Amino acid sequence: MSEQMKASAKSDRVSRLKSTSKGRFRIFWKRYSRNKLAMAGLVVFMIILIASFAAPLIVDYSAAIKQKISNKFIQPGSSADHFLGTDQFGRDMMARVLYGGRISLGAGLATVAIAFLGGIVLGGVSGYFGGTVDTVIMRVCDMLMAIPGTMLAMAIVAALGAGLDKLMISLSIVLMPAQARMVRAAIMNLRNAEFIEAARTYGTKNARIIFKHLLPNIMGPLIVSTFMSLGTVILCIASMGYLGIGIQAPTPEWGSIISENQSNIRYYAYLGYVPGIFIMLSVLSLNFIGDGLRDALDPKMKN
Amino acid sequence: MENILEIKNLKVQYNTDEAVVYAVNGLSLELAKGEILGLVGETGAGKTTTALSIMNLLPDAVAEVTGGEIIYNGKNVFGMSKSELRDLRGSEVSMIFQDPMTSLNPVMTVNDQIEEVLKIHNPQMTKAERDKRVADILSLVGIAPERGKSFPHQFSGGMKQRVVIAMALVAEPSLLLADEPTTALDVTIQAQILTLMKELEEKLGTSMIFITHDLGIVAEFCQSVAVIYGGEIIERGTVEQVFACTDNHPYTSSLFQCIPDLETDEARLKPIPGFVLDPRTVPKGCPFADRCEHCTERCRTEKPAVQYVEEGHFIKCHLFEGRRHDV
Repeated sequence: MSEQMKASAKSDRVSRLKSTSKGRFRIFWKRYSRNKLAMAGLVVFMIILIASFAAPLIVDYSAAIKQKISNKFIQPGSSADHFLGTDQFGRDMMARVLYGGRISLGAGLATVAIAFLGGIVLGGVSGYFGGTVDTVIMRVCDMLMAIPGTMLAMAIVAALGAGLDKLMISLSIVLMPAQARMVRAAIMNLRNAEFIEAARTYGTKNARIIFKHLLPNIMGPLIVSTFMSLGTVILCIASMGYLGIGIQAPTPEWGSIISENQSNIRYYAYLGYVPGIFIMLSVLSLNFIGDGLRDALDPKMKN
Repeated sequence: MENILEIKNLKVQYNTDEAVVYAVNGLSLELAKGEILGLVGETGAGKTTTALSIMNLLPDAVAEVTGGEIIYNGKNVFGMSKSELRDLRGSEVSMIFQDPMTSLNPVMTVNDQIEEVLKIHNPQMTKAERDKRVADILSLVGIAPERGKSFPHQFSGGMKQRVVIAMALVAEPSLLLADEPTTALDVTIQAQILTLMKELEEKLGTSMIFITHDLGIVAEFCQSVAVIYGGEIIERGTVEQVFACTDNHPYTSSLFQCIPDLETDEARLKPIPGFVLDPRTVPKGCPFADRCEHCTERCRTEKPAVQYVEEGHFIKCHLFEGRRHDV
């Protein structure tokens, strides 16, 4: 073998090694994209998300709140200006749904993020240390979990007063116990693993063990369950909006759009199904995304 | 020679829900600087408990140190503060675990895991210095530094154990506790790892406690040997003294009889009768009494004292009383 060939064979090997070490996301993506339903879910959810957050580029906010009674009850598709029709006050349904999506999806994501962080800290601490800390945290979680979710959220909102921020706080308090339990169970499984003991033998502090060694190991299932709960949260925000204790009128929000139109839904069904379809599509696509993530992140499916 | 480690009359018990398990019962051991000691014993004899006690890493929920002390470089390990312990672990004493498959974090790259030890113990080091150290230590244990970006599951068992050794050595500890580092590996890899550890110990001058139940490895690799049974050291001496001597502790002799001899034509090995001491009981006399063929009434009732048979070689057995050779 000539020197040149040897050299090229060697560089070939090095480059292969590099690709395996940085290709983690690529492997994940390959496995995720194999799941057609999950891909469809991702596409639909991204369209809704982008349309909602880019709403000012599509319609003006004033179209969503400014009343113009002469335009009321325009059927969807019958007017070029009002593609999805108008409601009883002549407000553009498309504008209302898109701007409503900003709140429904935005608040949903924020709520889930708060619950995710809170759950990690509470569950991590209680699973890792055990003992009294664990007992106290878990009994509080038990107490919260004993109350039906929507009822608890309503009670907290009633105590704190209405408002988007309070709604988010109350919903994340509802979500947190389940999240904390899951993190705790996963951490208890791992905390006696030999690599954790090894980390202790070289003097790692407890906080570092929890956040650098334990959490990355359980991230997969955690992300999945978080995504799954996002659907529930959006539904919950919508139902709170429907009950009138969430977002205050005239701010649009998917649930409150349905509730303020409910007296007219009998005659103008589109008033219900336009926001309803948006809720349904985003919840459904989130569940498909969650399923796909679970399959793609499951180490047992590694090939 | 100066002692790096002195264990004095250590007693450790595990308080479980079902019973109290007496893992270590009055174990005393000294280790000189630069010495490689083989700690030999059956499963459940208290080898790993001893190693964990040295780092004060016994699981506090169940384990309890009921007596004795461990002096590392003149300081009692059990009296150390949290920050002193953190300095002790990793930079002074480090440990290699039995199973390389489970002792690496599956979601951290090899580089990150080795680097973490440095981050904890040498916070003033810059990122570039750390990278350099990690690359150096990887090539020292025979792994191409480019492979450091891989995850543990992309490594073979032998390579993982090399990574574990690299992690244990990167902060240049003075004492290395190797808890059966080769048991989980196949024989060819065992030989590689042992050669590697021997080289490293010559290069860095680390003292080592090598926990194993393989007497062959002890003969080849260690300078001295301590035999542990029922949570105490029953024989201790240099490898030459213990292996050359025809008159060992009865337990050590029976261990030797369990090794196949290639020269004689024996069809069966001679196993030690009976079972390992039930760790839930503390015998009044010699822990080995039940299985010993020389057992007398006295062995059952009275604990044998340390009998020096030569300089640096002691046996804890009544049989050897008064047999001390001139020292």
